[in-house]
Amino acid sequence: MTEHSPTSTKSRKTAAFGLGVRIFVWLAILTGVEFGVSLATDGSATLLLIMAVAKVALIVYYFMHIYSLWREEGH
Amino acid sequence: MTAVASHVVHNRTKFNRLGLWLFLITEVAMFGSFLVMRFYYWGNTRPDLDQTIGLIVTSVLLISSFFMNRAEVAIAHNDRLNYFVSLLITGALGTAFLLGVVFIEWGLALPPAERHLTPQSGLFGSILFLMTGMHALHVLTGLIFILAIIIKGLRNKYTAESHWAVEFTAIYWHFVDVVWVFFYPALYLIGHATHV
Repeated sequence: MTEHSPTSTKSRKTAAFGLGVRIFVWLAILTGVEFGVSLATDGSATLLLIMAVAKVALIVYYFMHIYSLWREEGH
Repeated sequence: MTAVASHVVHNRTKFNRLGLWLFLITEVAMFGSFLVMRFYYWGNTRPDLDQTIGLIVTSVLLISSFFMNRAEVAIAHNDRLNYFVSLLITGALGTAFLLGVVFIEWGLALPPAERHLTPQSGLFGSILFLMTGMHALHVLTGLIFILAIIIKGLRNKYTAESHWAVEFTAIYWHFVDVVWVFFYPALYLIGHATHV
C-alpha cells in the first residue's frame, strides 16, 4: 500500500469535500430550474424527465461512485 | 494491514459492491413499475398537491444526500468528527423528510375528515400513497442503517481502509434520493393539477 503524507491526505480530503459541494450546487440549480420549467410549461413531461435524468447521472456517478464497480482496487 | 490481507479486503468489497448494485437493479424495476403506472393512469394530469411542501421535502432529501457523501469522504480520510456530525445531520434531515411526507403531505396530522386525499380517493389517492409509501419505507430503512453505522462508528469499527458498511449505507441513501428525483416531478410537477 502506498503511504501518503499528512499534507497530501488533507488536500485530497479537501478536494473530495469540494467536489461534493460542487455536485450539490448543480443538483440544487437543476431542482430550481425543474420547478421553474414546470410553472413555465405547465408541467412538460419531456423537459422535466430530461432534467431528472441529468440529476440522477450526477448522483450515480459522483455520490454513488458507480465507476468503482469496474475499478481494480477499491478502498 | 499486510499485502495479502489488503487484497482479500479489496476483493470482498468489490463483490459486495456488485451484489448491492444487483439488488438496486431489482429496486429500479419495482419503482420503475410505479412510474409506468403513474403515467398510464394519470396521463397528463396530477393531484393538486402543495407545491411548497413538495419543494421543501425534495430540498431536504437533496441536502441529506450531500451530508451523506460528506460522511463517507470523512471516514475514508479518518476524519471521525466530520463523520459523526455529517451522519447526524443526514439522519435529522431524513427524519424531517419522512415526517414531512407522512404528517403534512399525507395529512396524518389532520383529523380524517379534513384530509383532502386518502388511499381510497380513486386512482390519484391509491397511486400517490403507493409511491410515497414505498419510498417512505425505504427512507425509514435508510435511517435504521444510518443509526447502525453511527453506533458501530462509536465502537471504532471503521477505518479509512475498511468501512464497507458506511459505503453500503451511503449508496443506499443516494439510491433513495435517486428514486425521489424521479418521483418529485412525476407527482408534483408533470401535467395539469386536477382537484380530486
